[in-house]
Amino acid sequence: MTKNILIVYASNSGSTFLVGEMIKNYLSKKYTVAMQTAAMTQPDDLEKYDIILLGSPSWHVLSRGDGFPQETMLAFMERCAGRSFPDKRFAAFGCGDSDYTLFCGAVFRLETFIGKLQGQKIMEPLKVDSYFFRPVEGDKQVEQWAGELMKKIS
Amino acid sequence: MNKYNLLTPNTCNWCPGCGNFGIWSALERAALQAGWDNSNTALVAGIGCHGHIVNFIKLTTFEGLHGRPIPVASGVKMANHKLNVFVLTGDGDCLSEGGNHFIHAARRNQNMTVIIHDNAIYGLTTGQTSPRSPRGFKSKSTPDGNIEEPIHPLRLALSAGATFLARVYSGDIQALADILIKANNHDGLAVIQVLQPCVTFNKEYTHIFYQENMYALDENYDPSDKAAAFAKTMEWGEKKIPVGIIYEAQEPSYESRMSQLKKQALVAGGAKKRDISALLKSYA
Repeated sequence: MTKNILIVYASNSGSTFLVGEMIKNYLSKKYTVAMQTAAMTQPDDLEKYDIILLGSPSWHVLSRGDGFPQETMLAFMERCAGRSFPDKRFAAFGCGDSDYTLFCGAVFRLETFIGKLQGQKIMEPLKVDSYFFRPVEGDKQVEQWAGELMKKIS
Repeated sequence: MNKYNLLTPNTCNWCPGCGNFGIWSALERAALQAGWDNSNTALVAGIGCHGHIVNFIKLTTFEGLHGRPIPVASGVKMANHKLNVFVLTGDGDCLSEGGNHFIHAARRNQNMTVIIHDNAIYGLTTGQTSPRSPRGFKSKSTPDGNIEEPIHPLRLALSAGATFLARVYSGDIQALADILIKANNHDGLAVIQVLQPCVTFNKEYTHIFYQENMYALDENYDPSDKAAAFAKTMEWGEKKIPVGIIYEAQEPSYESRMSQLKKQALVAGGAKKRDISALLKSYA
């Protein structure tokens, strides 16, 4: 069965974008995959897809604190308040740095968000540590996760 | 070639979240797309956080004195004008210590690409006000607020004679890679102002500030219109930061006007050795 996949991401230094792009390229071998920023995503956009992947770096957000999704992802999450997508399948990913407290705290919050949407969780999230400082290892981790995701949705 | 071929054994030392990562990634991507390698490309950096990039990318690189990457790059280009020559420079490096070189490179329309890593602060020295810091900006060097107006590098370059001007946000990796290739293909001085947040020391020009306040130039915008380009360089502030190619004009480059370079690159002629021992003896 054909599956349409949407990757919604937020990124600052570019690592979450690059990771999302790698996932997209991997899944595109078999599926139709769209990728767009959280800033330009509306809740209704999710209706057009079977599978939604949410990605964000973990950030210190003013007035909230450490380990939050990037601001544009937070705004998207707020736009989705009150909505539910029980027939959609979700997975989360993000980049972080284990030298900081709340490593990949944003990914934890994305998972909580998926729960609030009543979405179906496909698998454990991808948490990439210090992507730019260890790009070879990071890419291997992303490819492995994308491979497992492919198996789960096939 | 793939991106791993462009990695060096050195581990990055920029802060997590630094805008320089986007520039590094875009430069790698552009190099792969355009076929830039050690045989056809040279990067010259100044001093500052931006300059560390020479340690992380496996291309021919040179890190010079503070503010002086443009003169070094000029020399590289004169010796072999067939090379793709890129200047990597910070806003302090380029607009303060190196301001004179920047103006004259624009005036000459030298055929190279100047990439300004604009974080609007001196980051490597842990956060002092730079020529790009806004008025009122508080830092270690201006604790009561900056009383000076910032320099606008694209406006300065346009008035001085540069023929390709672009502005890009560092996190927009594909857009930056595309503009790097176009800038390098342009015959003349190309200046790219990269909005590159310093996440540690500049709490005003943050990633979210740029993401919320920049806008892409309209499809109908004509980059050959110099007056329109000037008007765009006057824009800055809330929802008013244009990104994209702001100006592009076809004017003869400095190198194309040099008769000595018509036949071949200077380096191809080899160095002529002369015996100066008699001259030295005459001073004895």
